[in-house]
Amino acid sequence: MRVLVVASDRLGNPSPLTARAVTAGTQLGRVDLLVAGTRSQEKAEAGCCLHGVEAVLQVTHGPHFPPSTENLAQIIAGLAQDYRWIVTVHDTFGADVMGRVGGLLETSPITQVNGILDSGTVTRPVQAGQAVARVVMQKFPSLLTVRPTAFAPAAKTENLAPVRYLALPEGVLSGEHHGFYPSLSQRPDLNQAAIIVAGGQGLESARSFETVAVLADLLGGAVGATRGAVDAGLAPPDLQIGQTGRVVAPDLYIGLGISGAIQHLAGIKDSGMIVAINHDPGAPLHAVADFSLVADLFTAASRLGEIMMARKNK
Amino acid sequence: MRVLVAIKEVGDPAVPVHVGNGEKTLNREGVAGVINPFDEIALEEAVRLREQGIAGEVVVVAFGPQSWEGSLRTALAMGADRAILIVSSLGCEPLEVAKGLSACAKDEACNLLLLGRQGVDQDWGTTGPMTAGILGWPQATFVSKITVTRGFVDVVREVDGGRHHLRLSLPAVISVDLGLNTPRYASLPNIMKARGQSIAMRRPPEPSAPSWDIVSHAPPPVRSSGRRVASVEELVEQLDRAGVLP
Ligand SMILES: Cc1cc2nc3c(=O)[nH]c(=O)nc-3n(C[C@H](O)[C@H](O)[C@H](O)COP(=O)(O)OP(=O)(O)OC[C@H]3O[C@@H](n4cnc5c(N)ncnc54)[C@H](O)[C@@H]3O)c2cc1C
Ligand SMILES: Nc1ncnc2c1ncn2[C@@H]1O[C@H](COP(=O)(O)O)[C@@H](O)[C@H]1O
Repeated sequence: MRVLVVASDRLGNPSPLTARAVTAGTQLGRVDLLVAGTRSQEKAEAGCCLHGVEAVLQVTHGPHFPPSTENLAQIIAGLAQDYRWIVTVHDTFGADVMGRVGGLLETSPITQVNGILDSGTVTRPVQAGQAVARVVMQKFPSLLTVRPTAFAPAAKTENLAPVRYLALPEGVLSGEHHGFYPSLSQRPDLNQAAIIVAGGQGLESARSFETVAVLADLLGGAVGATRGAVDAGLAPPDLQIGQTGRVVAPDLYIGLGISGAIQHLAGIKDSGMIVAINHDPGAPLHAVADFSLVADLFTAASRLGEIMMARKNK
Repeated sequence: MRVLVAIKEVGDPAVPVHVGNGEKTLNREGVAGVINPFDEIALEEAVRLREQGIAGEVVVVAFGPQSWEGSLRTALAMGADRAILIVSSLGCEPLEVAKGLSACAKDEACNLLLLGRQGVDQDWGTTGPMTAGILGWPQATFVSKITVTRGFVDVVREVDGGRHHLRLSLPAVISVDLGLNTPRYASLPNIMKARGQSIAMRRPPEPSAPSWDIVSHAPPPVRSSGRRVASVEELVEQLDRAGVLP
């Protein structure tokens, strides 16, 4: 049985997270990949070489460009009868479009899926990750958004999947696109980074938050923050990690001056390795860390920075 | 212009959840109910629009059990003009809620429907776009800035990697993100006043066939607790051994 995976869009560009949705799709059935939006040619090229993709459906440009969520949802709903599952990544693109598809098809999507047990049963975290719900599908096609942190990217293959073209439907009421404005940071993305250095309210001031950035740069990593740090104005909102921010799973996460509230842990639990640096031995982050250092964060971060710097210069 | 704000009550997120193995529903009995934090932000925005003379009336609606009246009264105390409760059982699936909200949006002839980007209990995050799909209205999710001009609303969306600027024609559905505003507290006189206000009770639409069944809950896998390191040098040694440092 067939799965329609909808390729993700990141600021009008192909998203590397698409390869993760393809992996989830192949755990359910035979995958077709739908690509749309700006640079759909590039998206099709990136998608047709992913292992498991049997066909790419590329939406050609219509009167609305780039096609809006409203248009895209209409296209997906129109294809729905041919599929038993429709899958996207649970990023800001996938959550936006899949919800609308759910309204059109009168099916509640199962969002934030972090495990596929069999072709009709999945798991998802609830209550800030304090419980995991097991959900059995009852309406088909079933709509799923999958957590990118829970699925490895599909490998590339030499066998290119064929591309079919679809026209955009006309006359769908939609928003008028006024442009994407990428974040100015030159650092790796939270979704992609192998290393994340995150800072909490222990950093005290936006200036001392630079400590986090300096260390991240020395490690070639991304910068993250707690909600506490964001609310205190130490870091911009798009760096917030946790239940109500980004969910991340780097190989290495280093938390500086972070207490480890449940809502923050909800966003880092799937990391390969967690390091806690906090002067309070009772901070809950220590309890989930692979390595915990009870120390003043400024002293520890500068020592760690020195060591990394010395290595670089070697 | 009439703004409708969807309010969900959630168990106080500060109270830890205890889950046994295999429970069909999570027992949150005795945990105080609060307005979902994102919905407070949505309501605050609606009240500000009225204060600026852009919105004429702010109506709040909840789709839930009778016991949610308290949260609607809090919403009235925070500045809503009227409150509607679509009386239903607890924990209905988002499709039921979206159907109820869309019917209410039409009955009330609202021009703008505001919701939260996610309920912090279940983290579905789907009710806003589902309702927009049912209504056939344009939508914007993860919104951190709203500017209403004649017949249109310009929004800034917080999307992965940056921001998305979008113009929607009204009526429209918007789900809000944290950066939009900081909600006010209800003042004591307003809380007292809200006690006496009446809440309109409505019946939910006919239920649909279920999309899925939540069969059980389990505790999350525990991360095996790690080890204390005594110094940065020891930390680096361990991380090198694991091969995670550049
Ligand atoms: C519905 C809801 C959703 C939420 N969503 C999120 C979310 O997505 N992400 C999130 O992060 N939070 C979220 N929160 C907030 C969360 O509950 C915590 O309040 C927040 O994570 C705390 O941030 P913090 O660790 O930076 O601050 P604190 O809890 O204040 O911790 C600061 C830590 O720094 C340590 N420290 C201070 N100075 C030093 C020093 N010099 N050296 C070493 N250590 C030092 C202290 O010992 C302390 O442990 C949410 C809350 C709610 C209610
Ligand atoms: N039962 C409900 N009653 C009213 N509004 C709701 C209800 N459930 C969800 N919502 C709205 O939809 C938003 C997203 O919730 P959810 O889709 O459950 O994550 C919430 O922030 C509310 O604004």
